[in-house]
Amino acid sequence: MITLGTLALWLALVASVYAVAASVYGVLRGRADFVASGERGAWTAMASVVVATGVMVHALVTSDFSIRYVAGYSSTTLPLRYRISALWGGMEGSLLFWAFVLVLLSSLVLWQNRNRNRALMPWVTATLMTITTFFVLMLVFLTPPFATLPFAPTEGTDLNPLLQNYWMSIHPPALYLGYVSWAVPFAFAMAALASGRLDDLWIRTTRRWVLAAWFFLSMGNLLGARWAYEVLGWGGYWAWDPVENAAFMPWLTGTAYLHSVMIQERKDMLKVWNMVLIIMTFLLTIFGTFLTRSGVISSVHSFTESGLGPWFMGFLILCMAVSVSLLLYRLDRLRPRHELDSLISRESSFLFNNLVLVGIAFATLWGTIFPVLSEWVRGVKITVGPPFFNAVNAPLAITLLFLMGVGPVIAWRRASLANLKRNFLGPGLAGLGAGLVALLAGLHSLSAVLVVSMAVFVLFTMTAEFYHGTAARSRISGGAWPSALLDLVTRNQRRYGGYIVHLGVVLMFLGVTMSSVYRVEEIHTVDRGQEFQIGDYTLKYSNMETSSDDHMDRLIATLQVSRGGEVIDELKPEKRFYRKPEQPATEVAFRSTLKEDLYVILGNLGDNETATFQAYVNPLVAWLWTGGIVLALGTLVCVLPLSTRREQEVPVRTARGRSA
Amino acid sequence: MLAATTASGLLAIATPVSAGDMSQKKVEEHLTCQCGCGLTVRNCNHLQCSSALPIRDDIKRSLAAGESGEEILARYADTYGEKILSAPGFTGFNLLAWTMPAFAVLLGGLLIARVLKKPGRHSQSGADPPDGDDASADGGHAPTRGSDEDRRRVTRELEKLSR
Repeated sequence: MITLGTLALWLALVASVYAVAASVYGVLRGRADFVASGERGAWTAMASVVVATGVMVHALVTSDFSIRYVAGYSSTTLPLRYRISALWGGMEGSLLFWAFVLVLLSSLVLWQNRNRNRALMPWVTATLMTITTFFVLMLVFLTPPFATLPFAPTEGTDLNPLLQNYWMSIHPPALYLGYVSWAVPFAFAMAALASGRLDDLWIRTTRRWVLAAWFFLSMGNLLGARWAYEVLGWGGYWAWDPVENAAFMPWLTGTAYLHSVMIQERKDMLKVWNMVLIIMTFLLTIFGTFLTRSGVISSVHSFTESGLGPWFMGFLILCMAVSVSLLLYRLDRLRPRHELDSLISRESSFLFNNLVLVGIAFATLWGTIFPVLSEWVRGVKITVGPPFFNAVNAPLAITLLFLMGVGPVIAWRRASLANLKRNFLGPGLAGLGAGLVALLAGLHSLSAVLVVSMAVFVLFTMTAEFYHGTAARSRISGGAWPSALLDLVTRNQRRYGGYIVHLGVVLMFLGVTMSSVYRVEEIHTVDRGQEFQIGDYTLKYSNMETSSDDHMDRLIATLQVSRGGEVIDELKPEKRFYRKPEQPATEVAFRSTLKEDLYVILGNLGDNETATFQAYVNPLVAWLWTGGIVLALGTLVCVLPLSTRREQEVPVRTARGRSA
Repeated sequence: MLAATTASGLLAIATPVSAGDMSQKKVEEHLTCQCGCGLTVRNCNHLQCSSALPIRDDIKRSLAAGESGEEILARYADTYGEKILSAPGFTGFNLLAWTMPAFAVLLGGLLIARVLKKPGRHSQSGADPPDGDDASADGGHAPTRGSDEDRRRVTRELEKLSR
């Protein structure tokens, strides 16, 4: 099996290189046979990577410890689901998994376009296979996943305990899908530039791919935050760690693209900018992969240091050089047909939305790499952590929230005073009122008051859109309101799905702001039977029990939770002692309501079962997860074929203003 | 909008400077734990941490003794080096960390303003209704409220879509 895995990777390398060469030669020489042969090469490469991944999963499941990777990241006592998730638990496996996701998506692209977009496909194949070649090259020469040990140990070292968690089984696949999916619109953008097909064909073809990439990247980030919240045990979910930042940056530029591409579809503008955003987003996904594997920047997420850094940097530079050169080559043909008419218009609001999103991405990138710059320039190591990112990004994020309320309802081209009054007077007053109420209610933080105010403003603009649209449909069809609402949404899924996404983002803003600003924290060391207080809650340490299995020993404390003299819950925080590697880990316990989370960590035990507990009350943190679910639903509304009627293509206006 | 975006850029510079009167929580947030957890002293997740706990106690004692937050941070920077601070300071090269994002956003805002103020700029979409107030100019975006004319337009648009 090991030989099969190694051979499959070699075959994947040869086939992917051939696919690139044959596709490019075929399209340049007009040789359809070479183009077809290139695609067959791509299928061979893709099948080979799937075989290699299958061999690795089989080795993990059957505990084949003759393979160094399996011995290093698995054990016989590891539950099956974690043996499988060990595939992305280490450097070699995670690169193999990256390549696996890439070939799965590439095969879907090739299959979807077997009879269409034929002018673009040779270049798409060449781009996707170039990326595949790079990753397979790493796997063959630098981090071979099937490297063997001189002798097979009877037991493996096991997976890092922090990764033995439900969320880690789904967070990395979601994140990788998000990262890798951006390669598809990037490949089509490169194909458009290389082939000269610069109309909106590549945009229409990749519309759902972009939404899928954005969805998975959103979910990857959120699931990672949830994992941090449940496993890392510091009461928070986002620490502005370099690797978190690396996943956040392409999400920001991808979000900017999702918005600006609407301007190109409607107005045939921002063609260059959209190309820039897609290139930027793809490069940031490679940069993120580079960050975790280079050892350049220290992070709790990093894999062990390796010699991959320069290779990734080289690939990043190559991608940047090729894509920017192509863009410059086609620059003249990407000039817009229309120009902005007014500062007060939907086009402008989308541009400012882009400015803020890219601004946050730049600030995050700048803060992430600044320690490296400081060491180069001054020879002094510094840290750029949460205070920097919060201070720089919070004002931009609040501006973004404001623009979320403006963009969807302001008129195209030029908004008149009447339009502004009609759409924004009510929501504006509601927002101001909410800010005032927040102040009177005792919110002392300016950012919290502003977020509440802006959130209410956005909620009112969105609700008004749904209300008026539903009312209009109800009048036309004479149907009841629920069916009119359903009709409204299914008739324009992108628009109303987008609004639902915005509602989700508003909930997330409120959750993040309140849980960050108004978090309460207490540490208490108590004897068994004693109580301590946090916020409105009284926690009584009532019991401590132990449990053991082949994999770990567990200490489980029981805390009786009371409020107003009434027992309302029982929490059981744990301390775990894993056997391989011998490492302690905490298992937090929390009681989650829409109002707040009561979150408890069990610390060390003293004499006579004295225990230390760290407790937090995190207000509205459930809104963050709920907002994530709403965001996911909104994205699905945008993508899924809910309507039996075909959604009409958005017309692109010609130079004379007629719909094409 | 330009003003709002510009203001946010300026606020990005102004916010950290205003962290004058620092509480225990703020000072803890401005120091990085030295145990290797990668978190701040406030957020270190090791309950018996040999770094975060003594630092928290020291901050508490120092603030009670009248030492200011800035003085405590300066003392720690002297002892451990700049690396212990969880955000760069506002002097010398470190000033670049704070100013560049704001500068980039301002530059972007100015570029948009320049595009908008280009002399001789005109839209070629001649068939668009002259009244930009009309939301239906987007080719499918219905007016959202009120007048009889709006309602008639909605009806026409929806009927067109239903066909």
